[in-house]
Amino acid sequence: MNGAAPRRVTVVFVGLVVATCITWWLGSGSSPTGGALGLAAMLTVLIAFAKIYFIGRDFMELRSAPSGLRAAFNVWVGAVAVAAIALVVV
Amino acid sequence: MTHAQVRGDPDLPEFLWGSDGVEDGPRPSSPRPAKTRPGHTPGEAGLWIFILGDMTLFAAILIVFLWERRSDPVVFGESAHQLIQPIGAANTLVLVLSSYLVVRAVFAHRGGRYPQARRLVAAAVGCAAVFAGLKAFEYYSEISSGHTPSSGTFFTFYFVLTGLHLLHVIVGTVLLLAWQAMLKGRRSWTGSQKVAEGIASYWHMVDLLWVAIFTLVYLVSAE
Repeated sequence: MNGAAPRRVTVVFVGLVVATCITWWLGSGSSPTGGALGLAAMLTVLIAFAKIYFIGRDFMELRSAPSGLRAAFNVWVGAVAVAAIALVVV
Repeated sequence: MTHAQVRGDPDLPEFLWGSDGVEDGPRPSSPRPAKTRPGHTPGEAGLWIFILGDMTLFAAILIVFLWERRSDPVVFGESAHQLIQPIGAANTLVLVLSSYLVVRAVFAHRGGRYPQARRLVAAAVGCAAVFAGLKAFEYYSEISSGHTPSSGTFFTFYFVLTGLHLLHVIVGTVLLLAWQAMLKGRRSWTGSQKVAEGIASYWHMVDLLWVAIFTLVYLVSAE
């Protein structure tokens, strides 16, 4: 083993970059959602919290953490995402 | 957690199974049932109370921000349009890149590749400097345009959230420099695992908090 990061980490990094570009595009007003700002906002928030989930799982190494710590992080991500979507869309 | 505790855990990278010469036990022939795996806490367990608490503090401010936005979405939208979105997006990419570099630095340190780990941490510090520079330019532009913390509810939240986050970036940068000093002294992974993992986890928290701030303050508020 040479200490190199697993390929999964690089895949997650590329995914985060692509997701950042997508959320910026959705938020720029040039997305194909037309006038459905609620849909664009919901998608933007969903993608952002998916990014946060993967940062925790693969960058913070919570993937192999004790279940309690993993659950606490996942509850934070889920609860804040739901609250944000509710306040933005509903 | 010691190497003896993590040896053979199929969920951990192979080099933690003992290939660094500290432990040389056999690899497991089959994964153990998930319920018997203790898991590996990155860094000190107590650090995670701070990290989750800090994340919750930011979440509370963001939720109050969204709540306030509901009472005046037009003004919030107009204010959000005054922000320089490309700088916010560039800073998101810079922090994501820095997080990736920190992950690779952790793996390099674990593998005993000190020069590579030092270069990766130095590059992450460079990213932090770029973030701070772009943020300073953004603040300069906003204040020059007459947008200050007292310019209205939106800008009060904007300066509080981004200011607190910038403070975290500065603290994280100091921690990264401390890690780099450890690497310069060729501190072994066994002797510095919890500190290095803790610093890396803190930096990733800085990254994920910015993802939330950029999304909710820069993007969603402008829609």
